[in-house]
Amino acid sequence: MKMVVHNDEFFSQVLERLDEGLTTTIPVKGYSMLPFIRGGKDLVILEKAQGEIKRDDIVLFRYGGRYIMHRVLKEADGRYDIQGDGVWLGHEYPVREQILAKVTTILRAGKTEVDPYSGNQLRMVHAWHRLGKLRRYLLFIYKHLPWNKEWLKENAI
Amino acid sequence: MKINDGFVLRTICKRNVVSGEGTANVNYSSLITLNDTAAYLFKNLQGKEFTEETAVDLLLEEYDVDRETASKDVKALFEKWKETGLLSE
Repeated sequence: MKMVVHNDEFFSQVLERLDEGLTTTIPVKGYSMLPFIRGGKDLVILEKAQGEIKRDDIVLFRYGGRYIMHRVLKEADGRYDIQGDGVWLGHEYPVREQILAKVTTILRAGKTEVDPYSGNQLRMVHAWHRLGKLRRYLLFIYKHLPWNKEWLKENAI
Repeated sequence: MKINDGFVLRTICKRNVVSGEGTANVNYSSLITLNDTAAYLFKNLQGKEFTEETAVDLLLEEYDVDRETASKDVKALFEKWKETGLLSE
C-alpha cells in the first residue's frame, strides 16, 4: 500500500527526529542527483547539518518553499552554490540557515551502503561534473536504456 | 506473541503511521499505516506478551462487535503484521 504524505509534513517529521539527535533514512524522489542517487530506488541517511558545510556535501535545504537535496559546489559570499549531479543548468544559492541536513550514507537499491564522500566516490563525482554539458546527453541515454524505462515511468514527478 | 522492538506509532497527516526506529536511526522509507482500530490495538499491545485472544478482548471492550467478527479481524490483521515484520510469535 502506498501512502501519500505531504512533503512539508514529512520533512517536518524528519527534521524533528534530526533535532532529537537521531539520523533518519528516507526515500528519494526525482532524477536531479543522477547518476549518484536514483529517485525511487536508493535511500539516503540524513544527519542534522551541524558546523561547516563543504564542497561535495550532499545537503537537504529549503529553497523557494521546497525541500531540495543537491550537492554543494562551492561557498561564496555567505551563500552556497549548489547543484544536482543530474542537472546541467540550474543552481541554487541558499544561505547557511537554509541548509538543514546532510546525507551521510547512500543505500544503493535500499541495501548496499555507500559512503558518498569516499575518495573513489568523489573522484567519480568530480569526473562527472567536469563533463559539463555532456552530462545532459549521457543522462538522456541513461534514461532511455530499456531496463531503466519502467523505473523512470513509475517515479516521474 | 509480541510487537517487535523498534516500532513507533505516530500521527502524520492525521493518520496513524508506524515507523521502524532504532536507537540512533529512524527509517522513514517504509512506513506502515494503521487504521484507528489497528492503532488502538497497537497502542494497547505494544511492550506486552499477548495472544490473539488478548486482542479480541480489547476489541470487544472498545467496539460494538461480536466475538466471532472480532476474532476474524484480529487474525487477518495479525497475518498482515507478521508479513510486514511488526509481529513475531
